Amino acid sequence: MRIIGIDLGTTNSACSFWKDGKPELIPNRLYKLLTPSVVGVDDNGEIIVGEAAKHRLVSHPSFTTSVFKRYMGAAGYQCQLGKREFSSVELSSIVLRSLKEDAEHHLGEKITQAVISVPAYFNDAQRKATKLAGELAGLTVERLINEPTAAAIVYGLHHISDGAQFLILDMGGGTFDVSLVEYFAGVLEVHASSGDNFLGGEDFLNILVQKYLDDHRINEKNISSIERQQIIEALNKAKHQLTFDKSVTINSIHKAQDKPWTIDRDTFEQFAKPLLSRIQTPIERTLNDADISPSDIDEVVLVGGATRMPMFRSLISKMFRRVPSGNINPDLVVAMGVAIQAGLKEKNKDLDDIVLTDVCPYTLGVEIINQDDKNGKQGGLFMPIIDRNSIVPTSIVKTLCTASNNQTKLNISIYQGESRLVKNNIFLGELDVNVPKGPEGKETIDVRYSYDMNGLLEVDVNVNSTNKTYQKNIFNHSGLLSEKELTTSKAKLARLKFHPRENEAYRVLIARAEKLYEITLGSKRTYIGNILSQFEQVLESQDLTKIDETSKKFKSILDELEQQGMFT
Amino acid sequence: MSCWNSLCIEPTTDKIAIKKAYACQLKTHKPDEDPEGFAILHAHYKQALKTKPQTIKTSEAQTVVPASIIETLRAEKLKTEQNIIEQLKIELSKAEKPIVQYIHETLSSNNSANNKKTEQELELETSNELNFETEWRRLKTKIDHVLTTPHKAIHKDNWSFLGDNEALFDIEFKAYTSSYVFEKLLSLTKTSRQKQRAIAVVLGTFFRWTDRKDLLEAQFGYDKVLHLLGNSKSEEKQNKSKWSSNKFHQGPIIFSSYYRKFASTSIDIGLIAIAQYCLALITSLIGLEHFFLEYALIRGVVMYLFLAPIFEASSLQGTPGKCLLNIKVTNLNGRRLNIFHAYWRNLCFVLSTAGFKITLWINIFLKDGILLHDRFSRSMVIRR
Repeated sequence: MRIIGIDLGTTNSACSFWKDGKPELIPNRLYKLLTPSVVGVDDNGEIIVGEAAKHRLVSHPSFTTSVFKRYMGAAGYQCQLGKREFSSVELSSIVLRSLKEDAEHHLGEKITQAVISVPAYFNDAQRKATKLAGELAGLTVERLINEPTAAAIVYGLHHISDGAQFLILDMGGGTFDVSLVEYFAGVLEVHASSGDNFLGGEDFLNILVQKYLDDHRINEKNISSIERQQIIEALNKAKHQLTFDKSVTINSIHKAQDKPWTIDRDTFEQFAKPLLSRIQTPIERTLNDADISPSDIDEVVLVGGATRMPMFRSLISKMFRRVPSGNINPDLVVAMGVAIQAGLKEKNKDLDDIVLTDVCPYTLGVEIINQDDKNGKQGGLFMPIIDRNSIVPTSIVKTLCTASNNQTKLNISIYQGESRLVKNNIFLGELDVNVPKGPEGKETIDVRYSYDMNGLLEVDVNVNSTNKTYQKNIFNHSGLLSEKELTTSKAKLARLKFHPRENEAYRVLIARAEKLYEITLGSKRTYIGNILSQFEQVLESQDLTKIDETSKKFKSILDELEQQGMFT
Repeated sequence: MSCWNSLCIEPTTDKIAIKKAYACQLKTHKPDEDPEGFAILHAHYKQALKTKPQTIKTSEAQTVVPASIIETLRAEKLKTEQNIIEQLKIELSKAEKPIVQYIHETLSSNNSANNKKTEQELELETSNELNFETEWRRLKTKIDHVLTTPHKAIHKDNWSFLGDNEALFDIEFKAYTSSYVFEKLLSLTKTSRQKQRAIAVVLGTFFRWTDRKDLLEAQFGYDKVLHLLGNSKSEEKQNKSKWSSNKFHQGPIIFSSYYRKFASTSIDIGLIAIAQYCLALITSLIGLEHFFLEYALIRGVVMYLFLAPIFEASSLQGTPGKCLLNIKVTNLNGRRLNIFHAYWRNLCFVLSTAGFKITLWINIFLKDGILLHDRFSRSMVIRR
């Protein structure tokens, strides 16, 4: 049974599998390795995913959405696309489904199993949501693997000498993860891991957008969503361009801009300082937990698209006084690592000697009564059960007792975090346990926390006097989906019409033309409108040779128009 | 089973040998196939890595490592605690100028390793030539200087030299400076707490103290961190809600005294009386005077019985009198009553006050503080 690996990213996703002793990436229907994580609904109510949807972000912003990974596991997040509403889990499952179809097409067999990557610092609810998205897409999720760990396997197997300790810094579109990894004799051991779930390329882009709006005295409330998307897209290109050039000049992209606008690296860095300063904390934590000094690290490896930014690289070089390495394509390395994990799951012979161990990146514990808290200011205390960076899978038991006389119920509140007060930590779920009446402290319960390889937590409670067992699979109270909701969700997704994959390439061309139509003015605009309607007529004729010919011509025209575009 | 048995090697301090043995054993105890075996193996591996040369001989005799994971973990914890104490001792002994030396070592080794010279590396090299020792001295005098005049230290601009300092990009250097400044700030006992906090806010944005609260707490102790950084969240909460309280009771359960409850009920009765008086005034204006004065007492009781449960089941969790005297009504699990439970409680209240004189005396002599009507209705009145 073939298992595929999926890197479900904030901005881009990729799909891969293990073939003949090495990871291989699966191209999508447009023969590209990266599929943008963008979902849209088109005028006929069909669902579009990837490249075409990305172009439609500009022309049809209210029918398209992106960056939904940020809201994974968040309660009540619903995204309106046209008339329908989708949760982030459903949107992710649509992307996963598209990747699955590409894999099925490429491999010529039905795929039902997958390994999906998640940011190391994803909490229980976010992991559960990811797993659920996989299931909604018709995939059994064999394993959730941490993104930096996945990248570490690739580097460990091919690029790092035996016995080396290396630090993986993974900054993608939306999340930042740090992992300290050691590789020796086929064992890849993660020593410590930390991160920030809201720090990524998108945040840097937002800084740039804010700067642009401020410079032109544009009030964010006064611009339409189409204008907003235009600005975002142009600035995203500018952000990428800043990786290669010291400064970038942008031609008019909004009516309030009367002359070309120039941004250089230094100004960008100046404004991004608050974000850059957030990079240090997770790194420091990781080194602290692994009890290692920066000089002991053999190599610093950069993973994820946002690590291409020169300011990020120079900050890391300054921090570690060395040049970080990133010789594998930072966008694809996670997908390659996931393929290796998929190969491991398939019990492939080539990977027989490889063992992977990971850690739990945060402390998990339970709320206990705070005796010193006289006036109710502090609230309950947090008692850690699984310490952060303990190796997984792990299963730890702690004994708790009743706190007052004749207590008949114990409320077990499960929290995640590092503060000694529960109110500063993240609430994961709760469980009520009945105990027989008795004096204070007589009744005891054993609380067992089991944290598995997927990063999912299970809590078992045993009342010692009655020997009754309670169990809870921690589902975030808010992100919880009942069985009923799950079936309605499945039914809803089954009803969706997807755009036929054969026509995808033409769909992208139309979306690109529509986008260009939106952002240009005057005679160019009418020209684009004309060639677009011509192309659509040809498509309707169903004459394959003619369609092929016209689409090539159409594409070259669009390429040329785009070249003339933005930058001077 | 000793840790060496499970690794299948002789006791050794050679880390590479231990790692090899561990890697070898791991192939038969893969974490996803044999989680329990793996947990034991890993605990033993960690233990083996921590072995110090002198303990090897004794460790052979001492083969009492229990097989259960919990116990080994506990033992490990003790060990790390000892380690921390040792570390602290070392740190104390070299308190004045640490880190500086070994940063130098890494610098020299690094420079030779860099062969390629890209643009970035050239940028880097200039910063590589920083002399940390002099840099530290310079920085220290600057920090000390600013901190001697607290009214200056509150202003962000006076700290701008921190942002410009190249050496502060280095993780260790920054961490060290951060703790130095924090300690220094704590020692400013002459300055008022408000001022200290204001300075901590300014510096905290640079050193990101709020993000690293737990690290600081581990280093300086909870109270000191609280003293400087405060507990902004709880203070906000406190200001926001004195009246309404959480659905679940948090903190210890303290039963309210009889007299407090009696006073709160008196306040409520007073309020009802005022309300009845107002009603009477209004009705007298309309001209129904006669009718409304006659049954004032009965109407007052009915009004109380109708309104009190609504108050108790609301987020106030008590009648206005109870709120004023800082007590609230909950069920036996410390949760807010639902409306039916609240009506049932007040019905019990009426029934118990029917024999007013008897119950009054019984209630006063009940030692555990749960009055008769609360006993019957399985509810309680506790401090907020």
